[in-house]
Amino acid sequence: MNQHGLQTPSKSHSNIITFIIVIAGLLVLGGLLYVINNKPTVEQKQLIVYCAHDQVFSEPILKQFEKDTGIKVYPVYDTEATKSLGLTERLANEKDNPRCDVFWNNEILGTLDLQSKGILQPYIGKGYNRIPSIYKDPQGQWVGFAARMRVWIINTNLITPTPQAIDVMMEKPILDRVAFAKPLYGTTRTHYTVLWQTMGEDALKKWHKDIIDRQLIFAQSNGQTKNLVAQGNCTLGWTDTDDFFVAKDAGQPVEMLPYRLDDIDQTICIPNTVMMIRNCPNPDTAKQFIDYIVSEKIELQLSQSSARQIPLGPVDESKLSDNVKQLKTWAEDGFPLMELQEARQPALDWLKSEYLQ
Amino acid sequence: MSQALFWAVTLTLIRSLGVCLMCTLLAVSVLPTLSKQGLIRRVWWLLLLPIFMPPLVMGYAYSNVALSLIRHPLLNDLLYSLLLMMRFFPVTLLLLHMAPAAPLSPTALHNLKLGRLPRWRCYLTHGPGRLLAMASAMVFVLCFTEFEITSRMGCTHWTIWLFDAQVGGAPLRSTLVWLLLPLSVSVLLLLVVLIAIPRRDERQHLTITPNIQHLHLRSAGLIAWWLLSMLICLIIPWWWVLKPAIGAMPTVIVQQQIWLEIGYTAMFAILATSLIWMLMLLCRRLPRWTIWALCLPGLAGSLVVGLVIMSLFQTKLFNGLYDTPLPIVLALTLIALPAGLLLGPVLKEQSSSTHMTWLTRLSLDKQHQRLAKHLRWQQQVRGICLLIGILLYITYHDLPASALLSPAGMQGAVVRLYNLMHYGKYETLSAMVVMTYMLPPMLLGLLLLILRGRKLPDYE
Repeated sequence: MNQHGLQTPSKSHSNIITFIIVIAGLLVLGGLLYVINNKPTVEQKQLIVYCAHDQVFSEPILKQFEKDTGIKVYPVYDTEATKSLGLTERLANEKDNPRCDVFWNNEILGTLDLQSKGILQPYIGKGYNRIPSIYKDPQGQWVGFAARMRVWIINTNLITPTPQAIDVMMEKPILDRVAFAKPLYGTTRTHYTVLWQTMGEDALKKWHKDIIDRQLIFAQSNGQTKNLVAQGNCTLGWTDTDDFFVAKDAGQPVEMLPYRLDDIDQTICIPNTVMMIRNCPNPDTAKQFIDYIVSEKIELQLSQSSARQIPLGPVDESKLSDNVKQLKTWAEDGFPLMELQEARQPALDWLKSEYLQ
Repeated sequence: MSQALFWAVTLTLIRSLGVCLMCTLLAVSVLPTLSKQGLIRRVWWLLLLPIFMPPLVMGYAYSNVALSLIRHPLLNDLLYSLLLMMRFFPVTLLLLHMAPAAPLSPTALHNLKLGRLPRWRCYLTHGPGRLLAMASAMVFVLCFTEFEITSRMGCTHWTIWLFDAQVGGAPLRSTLVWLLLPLSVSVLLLLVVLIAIPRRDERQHLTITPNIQHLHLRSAGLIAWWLLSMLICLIIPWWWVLKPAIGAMPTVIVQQQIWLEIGYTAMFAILATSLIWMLMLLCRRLPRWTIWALCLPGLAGSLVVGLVIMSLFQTKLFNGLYDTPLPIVLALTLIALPAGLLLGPVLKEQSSSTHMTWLTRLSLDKQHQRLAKHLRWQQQVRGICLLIGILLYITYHDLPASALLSPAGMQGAVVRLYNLMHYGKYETLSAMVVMTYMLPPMLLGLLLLILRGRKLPDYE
């Protein structure tokens, strides 16, 4: 302060900085108070769930679980932004100091990876017993439920949605009207791993080179593949049923047919999987959650969502839509994904060499 | 080294060079109008609006256009480059407009030329070329490390390669090795910026004399460019988002969860900005190489910073702090620190006229005091507010690090939006986008108005 009572420039700067720090401090204090108020007391049970399933569908179920059981749930969601390294990697890195109780995965390859690393704790409960053996680990390390299916998405303005039309399209010398997602991640990676297992390494590599030479389009994701077909930029492509229904519900001119593996005529049905983490902090609530989520109630709820997930255990069929009934029939021919344990890593190594070298 | 990575870095390099050169040429041609043309001088800040368009919304808005160009990758790349140019042109303009003058005046330059020093050397090392190099290098670094828009538009970019390379898990050491090439390019350009920023003792009474030929034509060009970039960067994307948002707004606005998530994001952003500010104060007393060193992690990009911080907090030593806001705040600080340290000297530096302003404030005449307040706003507070705004903007909009490091149950609003965008456009999502992205700038604008104070005196 000078003799006229005015501040010097440097003091004025200090005032602004102090102002910011005070605001920040208040916010931190507020945040901490909020967190403290919302942390469960010793009596109140809690659960940390890592959830790779889409937040838009999983969040209401987690809230419902909280409401039904009184257990406070702290979710950590996976994102499209981190899909290639996401929660599976995080769990592997946290192996020695686990903080997660339950992992709700939306596919199976990551689950098999965690199983091979000894990160999962077996649990056989009520929910486990209602799921067919093809969709669960015999030791109870994980259990599948509510599945998606790999399908052809077809623009009905451009071709008739029949298996014959798809064959004709795929035999064309140029495939620049056909789109697949880049098979490095997501369910397209599972799809390729199944092909690795069923066709054999050499045949798959040859086929993959052939479709690249014939200019097949590789999109960034299944969602983008769906958009390419729905907007008429492509005639057909591979996607998941949940992505297909986004386009269908938006009134776009699309239809689907299940992807069937050559010779064995099986479909690719990819379940959600849920598992308890070894040495997790809250094993009791984790078991409670697994039983809850693999129940008929939740499978029905997921089948009635806009994603139309396919119930794998027995459910009241009268409550299923025609779409889901159809999908359920196709799912009965599903390829046993447990067999991918060995193919998983070599297939991934090859894909990485294809796209990153 | 992977051939694919080398190719991705080369393409990104060529694109970024093209964009920064175009931005610089455009900025140089219209710069004189900012100081000479009355209307433009008063509303120059409007030119900055495209920078504040969230990249996620921009990528989201143009992803369908990019899809229709999927068989024409060159056209898609040109569209992406155009979007980058429109987005970063204001950065060049801002830096050139607000940066301190070059060390040597045109007269001095002329004298140097007479002294047989090569013309280009005078221009680049002592003249206005030095400022141009700084602005170009800054824009280059921004283009070179961009991730959000390109991830939606599917252009070849080294950040996308690095993202894909993480599939199935990649050891942190490999990630860091892969990063060496792109990081070297960024560091090289960063060096240009650091060398080009004039030192404090070089900034006395020197100005760039603009070439004022065809000033009206240039003003018209500037206005046309501004209108086009407003249309492409703001109006079209926001129209696509705002139109469906209106119907869903009453439902969304009462959802406590959304407010909470905006609150978490804002809290982490403010904390990180405060930390950066403190580091900037600290750096003023440190040698220049420390600034350089502190900028390095941020130049590696949000994804890599997120991965490194996560690995750090997964070790036994720091595991106790893993599930707290500390990792995310630390990551955001590192990500935005280069912007703070590089823009800080440009935007909040005091000149000799600052002291004159304070002396004017001593006057007993109230009109003089009001004038001093107005000048103080122009000389200092405006730059500081802009800097804080930029830092808050970067930290608030970050996606990869926030997705990786948010504590359980404290996920931010931006991460949720990104997830929902996967399902296409719908009313509720649009309303959430509006709330998440419009509320904070409105509050910040209000704060600025309060800081600016009463109506300014008319003074000629």
